[in-house]
Amino acid sequence: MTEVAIRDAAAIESVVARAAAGDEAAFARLVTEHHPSMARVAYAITGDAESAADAVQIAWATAWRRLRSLRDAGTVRAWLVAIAANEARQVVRRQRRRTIVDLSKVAELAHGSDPGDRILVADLARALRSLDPDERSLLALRFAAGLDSTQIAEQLGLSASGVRSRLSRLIERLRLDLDHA
Amino acid sequence: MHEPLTFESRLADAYERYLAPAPVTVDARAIAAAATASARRASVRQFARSPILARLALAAALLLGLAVGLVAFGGLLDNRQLQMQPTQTATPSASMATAGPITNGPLFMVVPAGDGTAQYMTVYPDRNGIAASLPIAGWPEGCPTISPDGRSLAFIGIADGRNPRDLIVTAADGTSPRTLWSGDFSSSSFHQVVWSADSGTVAATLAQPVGTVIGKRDAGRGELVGIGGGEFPGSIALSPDGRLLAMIDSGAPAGGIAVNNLEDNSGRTIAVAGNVRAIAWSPDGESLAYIAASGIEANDADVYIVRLDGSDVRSLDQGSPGNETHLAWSPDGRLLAVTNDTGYVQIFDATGAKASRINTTDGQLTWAPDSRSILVAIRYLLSNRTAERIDLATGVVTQVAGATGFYAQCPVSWGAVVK
Repeated sequence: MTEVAIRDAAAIESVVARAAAGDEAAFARLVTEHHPSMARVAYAITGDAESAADAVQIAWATAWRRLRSLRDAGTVRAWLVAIAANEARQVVRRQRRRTIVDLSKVAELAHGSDPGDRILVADLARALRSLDPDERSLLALRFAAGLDSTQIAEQLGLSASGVRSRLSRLIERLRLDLDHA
Repeated sequence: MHEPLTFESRLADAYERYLAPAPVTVDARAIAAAATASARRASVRQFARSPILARLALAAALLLGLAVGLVAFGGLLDNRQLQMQPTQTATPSASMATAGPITNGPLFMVVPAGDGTAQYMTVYPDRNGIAASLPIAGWPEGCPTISPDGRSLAFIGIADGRNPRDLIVTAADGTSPRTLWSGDFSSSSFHQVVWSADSGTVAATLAQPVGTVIGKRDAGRGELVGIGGGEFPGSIALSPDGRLLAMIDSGAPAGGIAVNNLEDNSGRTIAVAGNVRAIAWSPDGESLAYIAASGIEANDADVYIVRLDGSDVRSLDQGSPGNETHLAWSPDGRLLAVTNDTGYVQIFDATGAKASRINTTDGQLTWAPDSRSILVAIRYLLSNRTAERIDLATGVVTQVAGATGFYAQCPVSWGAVVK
């Protein structure tokens, strides 16, 4: 069954409100709408599809439990991807495995693309391995989910300036690392 | 003419194009159904029309769920002797030596109420279960953990519905809350709450900023010590008398376990080889058991014991397949239980000799206070989160069906009755 994407603010608010009230069909619409974003963020942190799927499953259960605490339905996407990021971080910590991306898969995925991109992606995968789950999470929320510093800050309970400076340091570290690769 | 791409935009492009999972067909209704399954009891309440009916319906649902589980749980007071015969026993800690006979008390677990709050469940060996609300707003952060003497519960939550989050200690039934410390327990982090074996000291980790809050149960307030921070089970451990805090020293270049004296703020690192992943203090306070692998990414974690002065490092099962994942000493100090991610738990005696191996699911370990059974919490199973009880005398593994819904990340607390 194909669900229609939830477009306008009133519709989003209505779906979130119904899901928060226990409407499983409304909750399923949220799943349809936001599962891909959550999976993308979780994968960018865990580095393997199976762990990412575990993390997103747990994230949906967490979301169901806490949906009533969401104050602004308009932030539901940021809220959900932040939950997915948090669960992915915990999965990484529990598994104690730091593999971000299987390099052979990256090379395969990057095949046929611009050679400069292939080098960047392969080196990026290596550089990401050196980051802890908190740092990967921050980068994933920024680049995999496309959240800005203010949105990330709201979800993580940090100041926007703090998020900006941490992201800036992280990006600079990656740039230097990749420059020396 | 195109502007040259900035590094940041190339990074965004790499995430977009390559650091993404392969597209899969999502069965939204199945995912939603699985996510909501753990809150079925709450849906019963939603159908009820009045507060009285709601309470009756919830109580009926809880009792029904518990009835099945407690059939298995009824054997918790089984006093059969352990068949394993360790060649040497550890000296019990002073606090344990002076305590009276210990029998198994209730299980404690937190289950979702379905409305964003949590029910705190106390399940007694006599097959009576009591559900109560925790005195906080919303869901507790971190692991709600019962003290070894079964008298107190510690957890992190929001006492007044607003930030900051608090380290709260209550009576074992969730009443009489006291806030030991208020501060920035970030909601984006997962916190560990651990007790000392003498139940006098509780420690809770902060991730942002990194630190650990130490609270004395009988003192008014806790304090923040600027050391440590561990978000995963086994990353910190209090010595049996609560004087020393051990934690994985992630800053040590060659691996190590940091041991900090909480009385004089002195600290040192026990240098051990490899990437340390979990630690557990022996009940005699003289040594630490730990899980370490050859490197951060290695899948060859094994279990070791080291004395506090760094001497006498013993490998208990080097070269075993898979990763050792969780470890816990029995309350009587005689046995060490260790889970392996290929699906079994091993029991070692205090000399490090292997006493038994039992196939079970990999998960958080909880010893029965009488040291004769173990609970292993099953992780990641969204719709069927549960625990398995292993009777060490017989090796029989029984599913504790009444335990659905507790934190997958936390062990179930198993309270003691000290006479």
